[in-house]
Amino acid sequence: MLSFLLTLAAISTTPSPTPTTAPVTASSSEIQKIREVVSQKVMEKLKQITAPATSKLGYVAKIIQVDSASISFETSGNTQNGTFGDDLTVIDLKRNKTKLENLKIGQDVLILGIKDNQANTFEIKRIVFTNPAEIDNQHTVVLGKIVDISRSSPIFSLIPLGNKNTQYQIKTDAKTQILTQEDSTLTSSDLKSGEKIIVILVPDPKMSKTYYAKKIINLSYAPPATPTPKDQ
Amino acid sequence: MIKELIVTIALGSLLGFGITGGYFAIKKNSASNNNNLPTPTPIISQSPTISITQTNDTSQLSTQNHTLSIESPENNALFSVARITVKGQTSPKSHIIVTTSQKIFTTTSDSVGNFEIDIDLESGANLVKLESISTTDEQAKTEITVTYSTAKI
Repeated sequence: MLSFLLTLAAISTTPSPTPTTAPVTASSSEIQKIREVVSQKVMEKLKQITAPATSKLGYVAKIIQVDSASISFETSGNTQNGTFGDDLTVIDLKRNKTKLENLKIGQDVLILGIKDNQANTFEIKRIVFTNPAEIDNQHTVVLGKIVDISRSSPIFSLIPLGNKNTQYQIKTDAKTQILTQEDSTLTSSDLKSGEKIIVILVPDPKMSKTYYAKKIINLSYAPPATPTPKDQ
Repeated sequence: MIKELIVTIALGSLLGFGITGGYFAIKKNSASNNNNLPTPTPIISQSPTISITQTNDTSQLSTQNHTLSIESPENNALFSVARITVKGQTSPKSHIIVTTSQKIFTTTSDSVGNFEIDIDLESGANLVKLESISTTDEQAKTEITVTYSTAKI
């Protein structure tokens, strides 16, 4: 009885659990982040499910290690391994077939083969010696405002919207494609100072610090107003 | 008989003291618990701070939110045809510029941000650069390497 009473007293003095967390209200940005993460996970799973058993792949790579049966190579900062297929072909820089023995550590190559996605193996069918400069894509896309246009030569100055401390000297010629947002064709005389444009340019090999515009999209272009005939 | 009476009185006293003691203990404990309850955070007083933070964050998020992703092709894919389709997602109504070493291709994303564009590959490896410019002048870019080869693989 006494133990019952003491137990009763002990229970009554034990503090009951109190809610310690306030109700959490997730902000819209947090909800958006969660949605994006869930969406990514779903996409990854879908890719795994729908992924083919094998994939044909081509790696632009540098040889790290090579022997008579396999190769290790570095591509985009990662190291990959592959085994040579029975029908392996090796092509040199002059586009001639060459021997496997001519593969050297440090050689730039394009490695073509078939990846087994389940076994995670890569069987190499073709190795082509490459010059990295040939693969380079020198196009640069700049969104900016025209700050100065030369009327004596086809050159204008552009300041990027994202970096106002930079200025591009951009050259155009008859081959430069100049368009409106609606893909209507314009001429270089339609470009005005202060206009916002997207330029796809490449470095001009003839003039340092000057770029050549291959394509321009004029985001500010407004067609000249058609004069309205007056009522008489 | 007397012995039984004494035992009954003793038990009765114990029961009485026990119940009375228990009652006071419960009362005292509940009073102290009330004092220790966490103070609810006034939501109303926090609201202005949250809304200011969100306003500031919105501009930052809008920059971070302008993303560009490629659905297909996969990086390092190998094709036996020169013309391929590049599919991806970015902000709605963005200008999409795709370049290879030699050519430029442009399109615009649709009202939900999806885009699809046919491009022509050069023979061999191609570094394909994609750039997206949103309606609010934000830029996002990505790139993949794909190979065009007619050799039997």
